[in-house]
Amino acid sequence: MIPKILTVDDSKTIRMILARLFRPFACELHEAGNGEEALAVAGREKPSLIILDYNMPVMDGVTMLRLLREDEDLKKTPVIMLTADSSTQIISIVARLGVRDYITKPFNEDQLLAKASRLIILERRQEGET
Amino acid sequence: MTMKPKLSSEDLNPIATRAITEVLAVQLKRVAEPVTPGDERLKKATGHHLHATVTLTGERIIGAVLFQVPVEFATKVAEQLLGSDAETDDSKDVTGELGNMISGLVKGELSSAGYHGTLGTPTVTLGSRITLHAPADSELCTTEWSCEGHLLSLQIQLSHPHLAA
Repeated sequence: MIPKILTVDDSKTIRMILARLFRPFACELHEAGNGEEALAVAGREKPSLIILDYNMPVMDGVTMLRLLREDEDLKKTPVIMLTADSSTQIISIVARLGVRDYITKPFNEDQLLAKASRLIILERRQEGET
Repeated sequence: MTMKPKLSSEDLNPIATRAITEVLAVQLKRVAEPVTPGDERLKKATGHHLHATVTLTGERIIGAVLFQVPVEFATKVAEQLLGSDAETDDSKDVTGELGNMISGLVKGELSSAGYHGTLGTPTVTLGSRITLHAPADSELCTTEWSCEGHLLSLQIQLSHPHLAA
């Protein structure tokens, strides 16, 4: 089964950059424009990785993350935060919510790819062990 | 930067410079050269521009970051980032996202200096080139840039509510 990646950002630009970035690889891409949409897509698709913005209308990334962690089926989904907000307060909140990596915008595309690949591989190994 | 009771436009200038040059270099792989205020090219800078405005609100600072680019530049960047032809909405979205990234870096530097705040979501408008004017009790930093022949502008306007009382 190929990995599924869910990108969550209110900016179409970021969603398109991520789509262009992951398109050459064997993965299935899904996207959402806010936290509420993202929870619906995640519930349906059970993604292998979520790349999540913080500052979004309707439902922000931290609220979405809290709800994700309360969901039995989704609570172990690895999440990378990708946001322009580098405040220590937000970093410490999302770290407590189990975020695996925090990348600030502007971002290096190769670095994001490397981190995403590493998390998907780790996730696969953990799935194999259980 | 050490904690000062009030930030001046001289304090904001290097913050603005680092923010715009980093965003252009890291996300767009482009170099921006500073343009001095008296440069003749600024007088000839007409045509439609896209303006991304992001508010910054905190206990010690209230203000806004305004990033503006010619529509042609935004379209070129949108086509580069999206890897396809860009429509007006794409150019607006790209301008908003660049404004968001720049504001995030500005906020981070202000926060490191003790001026914490919360960013709003970017508002993008289309119009002629604009210049902010600072009310008497606020600071304004205006920086102008040239990137591949296009004139870009980054302005930061801040006031200090804790000093107004």
